[in-house]
Amino acid sequence: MNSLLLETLAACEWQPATLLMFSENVYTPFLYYTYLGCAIPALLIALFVFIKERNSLISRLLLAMNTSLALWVFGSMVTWATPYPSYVMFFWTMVDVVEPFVYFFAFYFAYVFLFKKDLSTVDKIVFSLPLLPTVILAPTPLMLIAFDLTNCDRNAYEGILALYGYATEILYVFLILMFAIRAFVSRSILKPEEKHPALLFTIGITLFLTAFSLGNILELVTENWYIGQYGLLGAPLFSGLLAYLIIKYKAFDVKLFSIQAFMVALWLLVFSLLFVRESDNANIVIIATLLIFALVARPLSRSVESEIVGRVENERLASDLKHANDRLQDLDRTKSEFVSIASQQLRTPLTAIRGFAELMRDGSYGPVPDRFLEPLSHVEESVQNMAMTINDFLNVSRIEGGTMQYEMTVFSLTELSNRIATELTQYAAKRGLVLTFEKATDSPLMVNADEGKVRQILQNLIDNSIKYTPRGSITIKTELRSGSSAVVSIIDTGIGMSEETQRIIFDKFVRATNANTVNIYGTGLGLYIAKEMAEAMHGKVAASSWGEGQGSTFMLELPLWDGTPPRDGSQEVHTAQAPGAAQATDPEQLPK
Amino acid sequence: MENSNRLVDIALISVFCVMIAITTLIAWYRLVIAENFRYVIDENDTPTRLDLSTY
Repeated sequence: MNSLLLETLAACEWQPATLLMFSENVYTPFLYYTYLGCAIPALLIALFVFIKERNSLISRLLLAMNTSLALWVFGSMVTWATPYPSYVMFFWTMVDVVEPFVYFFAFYFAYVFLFKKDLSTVDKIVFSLPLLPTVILAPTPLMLIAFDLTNCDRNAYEGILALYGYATEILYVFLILMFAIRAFVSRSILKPEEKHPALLFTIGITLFLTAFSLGNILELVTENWYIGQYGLLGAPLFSGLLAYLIIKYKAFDVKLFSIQAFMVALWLLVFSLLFVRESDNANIVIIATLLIFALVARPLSRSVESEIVGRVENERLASDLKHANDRLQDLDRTKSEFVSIASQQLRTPLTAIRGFAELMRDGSYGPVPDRFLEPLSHVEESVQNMAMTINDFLNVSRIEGGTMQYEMTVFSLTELSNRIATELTQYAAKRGLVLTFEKATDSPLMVNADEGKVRQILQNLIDNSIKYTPRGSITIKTELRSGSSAVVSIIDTGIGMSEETQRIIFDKFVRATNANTVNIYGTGLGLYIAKEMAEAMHGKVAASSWGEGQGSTFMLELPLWDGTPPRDGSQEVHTAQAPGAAQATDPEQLPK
Repeated sequence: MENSNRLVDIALISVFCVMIAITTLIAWYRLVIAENFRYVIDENDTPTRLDLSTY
């Protein structure tokens, strides 16, 4: 170098760079050093994905694209940091050569991502041809004309080849958009569920590349070379794109690795501050930060690891559980449908059997010998029991299928209870039981409910009491509770229930442990149906007993009618599909 | 077919790698080692630019 040049350079007071990249010559150091934060994680992630998926073309292209980007970042950093004109010129040239490669690989990557296939050989040659001039002619004055010595900005004059390089970049962005549109328009390329991720991908990569180019083009147009430093602001978009890829790959290791890569990048960023700060105090703080960071990095990484392991496991379990639940619901629905159909099919012939048995007994087909009468009554009784069982199955099927319908009307619960009591008095008397009706209030106890269903519940509860009371009495009592509920209690002197039985008596297919001693029939569905029906009408049923052999009290509680006129005389209410657990009952609450 | 495609890929990559290597070496030699520049000096004998000599 001649002395004049040395004098000129010395006047600028440029400082030597450490490791080529770190010096005080850089403009806007913070922005400048964020380059490392962008390039290192991007490169590490691409490397990791490549190692995991070595044979995948897309992972190779991701690595190629990110390596080009990392080279660009390295060259760019040296260009801004070095004080030597020769280095500025060399690395500037390198940056101008590498830059179109970033775009080429991005285009190739986008093509494979969208079309899920490789470019044809001809396409590869055609689409890589635009790169050739910048590669071949890079060391000539066509790329960089000269180094500017009129100021201390360390600028170079770019030649026509650099402009050509920028043009190829725009060309590749244009090609990405063109192929993306083709992929979206064609019905055979992207499946409907792939369109959303593909759109996000295209927007992400296009925005990144455009922002990346824009800095370079603007600096060329305005001749303000500092603008170039903002070019990489598109990198957050690029990071977003990488994050998307990580999610796409769904590899747990990649998630963990990305956290670690970002931690390393952060550490390097803090470390780099050592080279741009001269104050000893600041350096002490930076070193302390680095030490603390080094100490907490491992535990932090481990906690993130365990967090991710736990989350991935939870996600898997939740997914399995949901799958199993869906399958169970399907099976349950199928079972209910089967029971419903089977019950309907059984009911018709049963009606015929019962009808003909009755006709035979009544002598419609001629005189019946006495010895046939008893077997015929057995037939009738069995058919009756079977019909009731089938009815129970049908009701359960309707309740669980959510198809049970309720016609709500306003009626007197006292009157209904009295009628049922009267109807069943003879039936109870045949079994040697005294059935009495009591009303603790003069109120008619008007309720808004399905009268037929309430009758069914009460008949069921009373019939139950009759069956399980070998001797003694049954009292049906109506009363007003808390001024807002009507209660019918069925108090018997029957076999009673243990505490254990009281807890589960309203569950499906549950019978009291001592039930078979008195009544061998029974499906264990009657009380379950009563509970479901009562709850569907906003009421409840409950049971209590002082213990086995101590008698039982069953209770139906319904809200009193609030005076609102029923809509057009009827209203449909559907039961909840999932059966609830039996109502736990406090015996103290029930009338004794 | 797949093998021939692979060969084409390798050939293409090789061509680019060789060209990039040659370009890098030439650029490094001209700009950094030989400092193949021409100093442009104005009327006050002040250097205004370093012109890269013609190829």
